[in-house]
Amino acid sequence: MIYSEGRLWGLIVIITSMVLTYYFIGQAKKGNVRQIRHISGLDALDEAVGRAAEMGRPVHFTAGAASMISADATQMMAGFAVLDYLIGKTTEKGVRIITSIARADTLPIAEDIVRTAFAKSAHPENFDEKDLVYHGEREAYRAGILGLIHRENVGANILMGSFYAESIVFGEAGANVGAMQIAGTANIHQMPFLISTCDYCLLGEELFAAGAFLSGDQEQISTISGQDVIKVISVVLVIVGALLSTAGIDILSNILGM
Amino acid sequence: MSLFKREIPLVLTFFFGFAMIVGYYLDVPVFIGDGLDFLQSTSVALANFALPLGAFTLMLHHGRLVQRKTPGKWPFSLMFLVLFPIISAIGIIYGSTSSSYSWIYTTITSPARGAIVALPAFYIASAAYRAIRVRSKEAGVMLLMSVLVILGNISLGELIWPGFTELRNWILTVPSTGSSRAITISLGVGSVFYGLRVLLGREKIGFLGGGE
Repeated sequence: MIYSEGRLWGLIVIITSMVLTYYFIGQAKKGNVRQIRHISGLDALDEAVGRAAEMGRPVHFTAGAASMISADATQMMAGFAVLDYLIGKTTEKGVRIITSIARADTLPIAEDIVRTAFAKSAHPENFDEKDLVYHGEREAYRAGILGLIHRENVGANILMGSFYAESIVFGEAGANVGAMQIAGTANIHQMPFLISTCDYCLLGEELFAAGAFLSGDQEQISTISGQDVIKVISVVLVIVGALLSTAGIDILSNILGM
Repeated sequence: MSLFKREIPLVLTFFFGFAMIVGYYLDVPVFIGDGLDFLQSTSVALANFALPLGAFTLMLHHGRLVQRKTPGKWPFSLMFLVLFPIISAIGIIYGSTSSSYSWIYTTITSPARGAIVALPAFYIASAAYRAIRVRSKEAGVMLLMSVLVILGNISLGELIWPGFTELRNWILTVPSTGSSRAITISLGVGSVFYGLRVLLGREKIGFLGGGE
């Protein structure tokens, strides 16, 4: 057997995803640009920065507490794409942006993203390294941001990345100071807390699409169409599988378990 | 600069990323599997190199705050500068399982952590109030479901009507599990495509920093 047992369909999904990625990038290069639906949480980022500007209050951003070597690092990286966009918008409107970091191994990357984003923004001179705050992990991160939100009286609180028990603390702290809040995480167990405390919440794969969506790069955006193809296939398989299982036929689950 | 900042890291990411995919999905010979396991453990070791660097940077940062007598910050920084070397030295000399180190942990660290860990309990109560205010039809459905689940969880609910426990179990195992699986599927698909964009260097912002 050339594949590992029980992983055949995972392999097929990966190969199909690669083919679709190349196909849609090729289509975008030819000018066949796919339209993707607007994500209200990402559309609201401009509004959040605008509101903070009107109130004369800073914007706070954090990408969660994941380590660079954990599986959740992808969420944090996707969140950093939002940070890059936010810095462009905040410097344009003259709003201060405070970035909170939880892990030592993330700090150099975050610093490079913030420095580069300021360098290519309308006002690179607005970069202040004191606004890139390293809190430390777990309770230090939780307590640090809780205090920061109240002390700085933030006008907008943007939470994009991998969050754990701290999500409810950040969401409630932001709601208490009347900040406009936009969140996004792939941690399903934290979504209810963010949905209940924030004005907008990115659901499911929307966080991973954020970088492509905000960059405006047509080749990146086109790859999201590939996701939709896989999702349609998944939905069909779910419906067919549910019908077959209800009828007592488990052929599909046997095939997918190969 | 771009060669070291972008091209070389991208080539390495592409190579090692696809090597891990191949190792996970294909039945590779043992020596390749061992090599991939070695790579995974190397990544943990590499990440730990950041620790001494982080400790040094922290000392510098807090040293500066004390030197400048930054209002509202310098007393805490001074506390850090005094305690950090003492606790580290005790841990290094006597070991993290020694009675001296355990005393610091159980009498200082643990109560302080406990206080912060307890915070969500209060925030969950106020967030629950915020969440279940009926502002739309969807919020109304959520409130109804929440009340049914609460009634199914408490003994008073069973006294009112024994069926609440069964109803609660049905809500949690059928509609709730179904909807969370839909999100799980979309997350899985989204992360696969995000991973491919990263491996192919299509994500401009991410682990390579802020791009060009």
